[in-house]
Amino acid sequence: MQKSIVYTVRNYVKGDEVALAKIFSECFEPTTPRRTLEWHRTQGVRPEDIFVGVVDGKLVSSLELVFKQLHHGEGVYPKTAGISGVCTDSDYRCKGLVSNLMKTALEKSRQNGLSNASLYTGVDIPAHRIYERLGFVDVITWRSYVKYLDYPYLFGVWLRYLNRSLKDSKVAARKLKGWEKSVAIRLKDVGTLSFRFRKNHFERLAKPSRRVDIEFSTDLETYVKIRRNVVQWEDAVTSRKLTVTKGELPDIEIFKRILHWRWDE
Amino acid sequence: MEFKVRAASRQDIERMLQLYISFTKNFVGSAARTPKSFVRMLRKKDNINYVALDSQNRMVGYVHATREKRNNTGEFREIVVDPKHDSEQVASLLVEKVTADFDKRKVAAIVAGSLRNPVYESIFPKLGFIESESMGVFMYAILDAQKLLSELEPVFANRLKGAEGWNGLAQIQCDEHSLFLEKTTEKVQQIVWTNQPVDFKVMLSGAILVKLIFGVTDPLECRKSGQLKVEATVGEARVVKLLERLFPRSQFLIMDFW
Repeated sequence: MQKSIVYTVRNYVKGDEVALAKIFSECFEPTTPRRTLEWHRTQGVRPEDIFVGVVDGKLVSSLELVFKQLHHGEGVYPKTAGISGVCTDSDYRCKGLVSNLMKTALEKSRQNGLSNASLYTGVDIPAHRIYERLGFVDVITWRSYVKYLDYPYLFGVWLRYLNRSLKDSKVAARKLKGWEKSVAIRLKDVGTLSFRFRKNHFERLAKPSRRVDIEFSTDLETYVKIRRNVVQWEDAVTSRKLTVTKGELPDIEIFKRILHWRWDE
Repeated sequence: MEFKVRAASRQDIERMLQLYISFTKNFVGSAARTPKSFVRMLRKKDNINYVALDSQNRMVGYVHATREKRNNTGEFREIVVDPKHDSEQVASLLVEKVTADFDKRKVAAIVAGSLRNPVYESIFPKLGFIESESMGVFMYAILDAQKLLSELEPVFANRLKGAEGWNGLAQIQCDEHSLFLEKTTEKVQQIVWTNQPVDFKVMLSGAILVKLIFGVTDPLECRKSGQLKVEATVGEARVVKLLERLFPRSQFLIMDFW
């Protein structure tokens, strides 16, 4: 059983953006305190709309309210409390912090006269279950359309993103410790994309190393759908859309985590 | 009809807002907008904004796309066409123009999402876009059912107004909270309390109400599965008509993420 911790919920105060940017970087994508403030400014988020969880004086969890008016039909636009930026430092997860932050923010919204709240999240992440327990209902998922004009360039962007994310992700750093492998991805109509992970750093390789640890071939569409978690790796292998030519199972498991950048159990 | 396309400017804001309002009227979920949103849209140099004009130079649609410098990617944010000019290829014209612009700017990828472009999603696969389900979901919670029912009173009143051949007292009961609407030949009005018998009563949970408001489930299916119950003094055919009238299937559209 998880040990309960003592924590406080309060509103944002000036200077919190430094800690907020650090948690955002770990949970979403690399960001800076300046960009965090810029986001709050453009969305009209006031300090009293930002709720943070503090443990021993350290900011470890956060969420914010973004108020919008949504069309409910017949030209009627009730106000909604949009929940945004829900995140927790990986060392403080599964301790009920987010549930309590959410309850506080929703109660505050109710007291301020709002009849409803809404949010965007992933269907396959633990937070989705928390939201369901708090009374949120799935309304709709959606489709996306992508046209790649220069995928090798984006591959480089992705590796840079991985390196930035690794700096802020303690769980990823722990899991990747000692995992020094190279990967070759043969993509139909794109070419071979290759990288290695060494000394806590993802490095792009111009050509696959001679002793490549993981090697597989597939088409761009399947690869993109696996990365987005729409198609499961195993299903792609079974349907022969993806062929693994080299790779031990434990290494492939780690590589799949890198692909999705999902490190929680 | 022949349409031409030109870059959008600040003078177009008023008409763009009008188009947005008339377009989003046919959907649920879309956010209310002010001219300020359009000022922001047109201000950024990296954004691509085009308007489509008819032969008399009247604006019939617009497209708004952004470029993410860090990843060198382009994204279609919204495509809005006057409903009067649906099926006239205005959206295709706008999408092709933006795609050509992105090509010229040598972006590495172009992205579009169905939540922002629901009517025009079929255009993208034709232009070589890969279609994929997203693992994202929009969720909604009722915080105060009584207040939400009151806020939705004009929605239900307006829908009941169109229910021809039926007058009486309707009740929508959600988790012990109720909205009473009395329909006469002249008008539909909200009743706070009455001891007169209800002619048409719908009972449902908050979760089902959410799905019905946003048009993502069918009221008749909900009734069949017992998630929605009806007590009525009218016949079955009238019950079906009233349910379809109150909870029409509508398309969900979100233009603004947060």
